[in-house]
Order: sequence, then structure tokens, then C-alpha cells
Amino acid sequence: MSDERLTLREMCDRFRVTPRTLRHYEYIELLAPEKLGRTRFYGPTEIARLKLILRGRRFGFSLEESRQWLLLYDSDPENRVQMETWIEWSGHQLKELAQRRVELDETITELQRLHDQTVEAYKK
Amino acid sequence: MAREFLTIRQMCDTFKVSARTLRFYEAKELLFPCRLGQKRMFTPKDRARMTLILKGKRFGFSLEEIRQLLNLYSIGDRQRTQITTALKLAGERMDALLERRNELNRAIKDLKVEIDAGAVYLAEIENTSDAAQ
Repeated sequence: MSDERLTLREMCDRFRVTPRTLRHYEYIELLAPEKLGRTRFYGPTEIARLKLILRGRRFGFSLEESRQWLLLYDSDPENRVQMETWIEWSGHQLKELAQRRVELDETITELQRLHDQTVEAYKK
Repeated sequence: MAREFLTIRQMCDTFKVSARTLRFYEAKELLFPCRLGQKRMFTPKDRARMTLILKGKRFGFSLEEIRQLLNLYSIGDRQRTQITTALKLAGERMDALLERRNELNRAIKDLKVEIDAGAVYLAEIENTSDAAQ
């Protein structure tokens, strides 16, 4: 299981991403699948890296931040620096997400108000 | 006043938008100013459309959705179809926003859990290295 190799198609199915996304990540050097002719194979490392990239994306980290963070892994067997960095960055990100939610709440309230106004105006 | 044509400059002042925006709306067939030589002259109908465009934007509709809504005006049922369609679009957008908020709430919750787990992990390797010394 640990030495499994997935094709591009299998990666797409498992992680619900498009081929375009995977090729883009490769282009910006986030992933480095093995290539056999024109076929790409993703080993355990690439699979683990994609998991982390998608996790970062879900929490609103930029791809550049994910790239920098993944770089820390190689230099740090215990993951200590990587984990400290993760906690520090995540603290900032949490504030960012909270701010987004405030803005989203405002948009929702505004849309509801406009909706009600329109219904009211049309009744007359 | 209502029957007058407005120049692009006057339209900008009236609606607080840039000339570029107005030219863009014209290119997207949302506005249909007449030409007087090189100059654009905006009709009263353009002004009514502009009011609706800005309202549509506040609703968060795309320009293409707004264009389709504007075309419904000509059906001539005292805007019944137009308003019903606008409200339906607004409902769909509201659903999408609420779903996004749910996902955001989940992400915030999960991120907090991960931060805590990370802190526990760091404390553990700290203890292990203390014990080793």
C-alpha cells in the first residue's frame, strides 16, 4: 500500500481535482510525478504532498505558502520547524477566515434586505 | 429633464461610475446610447437600464444575468416575469452564499482543531527530548 503509484486519472478521482490542476501544480513545482513516456505516476510522496496542498487550500493558504511550507519538511526530520510554522501561519489564517465570514455575513444580510425590498415594492 | 439625452460625462456624474464602465456596458449590450458624431448620447431608457444594472450588481448578479433580466422588460407584463426571475436568481445566489458560509464555518472549526493538535505534537517532542537528556 505504501508504495502505491497512481496515474493522473486516479489522482483526479481520489482527490476530486481536475487534470488541469495537477498539471498546474507540477508546472509551479509543487508536485514532481514520475514520467514514463507521456504517462505520469504519483508515488506516496506526491500523494502526501497533494493532501497537504489541498488542506492548505481549504484553509485559504496561497499555493506559494504551501510551497514554502513543504520545503521545510526536507530539512527537518522531526517536523518541529514545520509544525511551529504551521501553527504560526494558521493563527494568522484563522483571523483571515474570521474576517471573510464577517464580509460574507454582510453580503448575506444585504441580499436578504434587497430581496425583501423588491418583494415589498412589487406588492404595491 | 427626463426626456433629455445625457453625455457620457453626465452619466458618470449621475451614476458615480467611470466612463470606462459605461463603454464596457455598451460593448456587452447592456446599454444602447445613440451617436452624435463621435459622441455617445444616452437615452432615458439607458438611464432606466443603468439603475437596474447597478441594482443587479448589488444583488451580485453577473453582467450576463443582468443582460437577460433587462431583456425580460420588453415582454410587457408589467415586469412580472422580470421580477419573478430576479427573485429566483437571488434565491439561488442566497443558497450558494449560505453553503459557502457553512463550508467556511467548518474550515474555521477544523483549523482550530489542527492548531491544537500541532501544539500537542510539539509539546510531546519537547518532552521526549527532555527525557533523553
